[in-house]
Amino acid sequence: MSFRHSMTWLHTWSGLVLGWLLYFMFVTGSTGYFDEEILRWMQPEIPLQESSISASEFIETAERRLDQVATNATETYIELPLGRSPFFSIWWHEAATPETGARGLWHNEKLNPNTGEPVITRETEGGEFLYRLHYALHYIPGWLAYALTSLAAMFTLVAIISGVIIHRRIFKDFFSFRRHKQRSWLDLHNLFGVLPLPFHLMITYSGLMLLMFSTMLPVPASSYGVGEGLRAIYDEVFTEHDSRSATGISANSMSTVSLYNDALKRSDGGLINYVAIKHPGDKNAVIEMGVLANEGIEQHKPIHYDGVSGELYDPEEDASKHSSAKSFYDTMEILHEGLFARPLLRWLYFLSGLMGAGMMATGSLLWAVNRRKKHTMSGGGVRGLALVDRLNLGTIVGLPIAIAAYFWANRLLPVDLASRAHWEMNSLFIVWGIALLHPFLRWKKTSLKSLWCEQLMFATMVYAFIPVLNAATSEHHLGKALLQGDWVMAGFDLFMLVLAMCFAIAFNKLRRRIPNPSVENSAAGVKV
Amino acid sequence: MAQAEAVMISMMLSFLFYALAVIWAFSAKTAMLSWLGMVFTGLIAMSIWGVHSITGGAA
Repeated sequence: MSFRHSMTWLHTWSGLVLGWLLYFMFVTGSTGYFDEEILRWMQPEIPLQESSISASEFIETAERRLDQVATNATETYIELPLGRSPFFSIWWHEAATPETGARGLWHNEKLNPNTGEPVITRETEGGEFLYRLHYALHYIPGWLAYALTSLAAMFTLVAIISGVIIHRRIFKDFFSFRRHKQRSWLDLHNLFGVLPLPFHLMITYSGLMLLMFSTMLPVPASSYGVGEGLRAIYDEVFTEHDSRSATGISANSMSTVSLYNDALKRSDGGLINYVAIKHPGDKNAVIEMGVLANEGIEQHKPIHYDGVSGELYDPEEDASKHSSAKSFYDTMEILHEGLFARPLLRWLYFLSGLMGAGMMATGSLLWAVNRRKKHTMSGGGVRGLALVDRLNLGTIVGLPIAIAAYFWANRLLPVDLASRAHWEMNSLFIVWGIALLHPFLRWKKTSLKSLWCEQLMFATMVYAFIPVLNAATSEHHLGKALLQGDWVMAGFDLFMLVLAMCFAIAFNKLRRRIPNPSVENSAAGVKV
Repeated sequence: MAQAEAVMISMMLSFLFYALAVIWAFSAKTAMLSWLGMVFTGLIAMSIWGVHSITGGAA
């Protein structure tokens, strides 16, 4: 067997074994790039900001509320409705009180941007749930999920490297886009694999790295042993050292609004979307202004002030110096998460992720197509092929249907349902289970292509009606959102329509291809 | 931080070695050759580690 030949074999089988899990990871991971926007759609109780309100008014309103609820806070955050996050919210951290046994906890309240009153939102995990699925999965313990997703990522890394080796014309393909070439699954697979190749490599490798303290434990254990020593290195690398601790001596803090105005002058036109206070009311208070970066790969370029004197303060002076290994790790993490990405780049991230999903889907389809050709020639057993065919359908179309079900559940489940957020999540898996079973149950009666048509039709419907569902269950219908320039709400609804259109196009293309021996020959000639 | 840094670097490199090992395993002409390659590299790595921990312990 030649080197290329053995790599083809490796590529085919490593791709098939974990292809469906990887498809799931690519789809859910991609949704994570819009987690805030999804959460906003899933909490329609939050009203739209009606008039322009100055940041200083927002800060004053938020501080009034914090004075009421966060009296013992060791840290407070005010999030302004700016940039990606449409939320006006406050966060505060209560210190652990050993006497009562209460643990230190973060609390969060979303405020009405018009009145400053807290808004009671439905219980939901929003987009974060979808994002978490791509590495922590669901219903199974974290360590097992990390092992599985890392294994899948490892397979991808191998599949990408072996794919580059078997794909002779990789560089030619990378720089050319052949629109008029006859389309086939292989072409599409190459397109989805090669066009965003740098993204695939980056996301796979950095993903492996982010979980390395779970999966590559023997490496640090060989130097540090297990238990205490291991904890020590983890802390050494990851703990953010609190550069200034509380003194316990109270002091009057500077006015946050005046520091906000000062930071705005220093920010070179950068907007400020959060204000954080560490140790509020203490002599060592630090006030941090979250200036959104206009360039580079950091999301923020925060400006820090000494809370009492109001002088600039550089926390890096006290923090332990970062090693180059840690900087490399941090850079890969930043690239993986893409928090810094502004709209255009964010969409590119999202589309690259979807192309990864497309690469997995077309790869699995390609496996089945090639296998079918072989069977027709040799007349061998088809049991394995039939299984792959059914799982392909239940995963490739079934998963998007299940995600739509998550959105539907968000609006249809009663607001006061006990553990409501859990039922939203369960809905996703219940519906996915049905979609996976559907091809098995109807296998005998229906052809594979009509099964695909049924699910594609269903997917079209569930996505097409999401804007209708939104109009029926909230005050933020598409027309109103468009008129008011509420782009997060409108964008969500519009993108659901785009998805519905994609499924409809796939449905139409496939329906015309339903094999019908009497017309197939003539149709092939007519087909454009 | 030197040791922590070394550990970080080796963890981050481990995935590349892993991928290379898989590619070697599948490209070797025979299964025997594939095993031999793994065992041989494994032994080298183990002995480096062994020597390092002995001298490291002495110093």
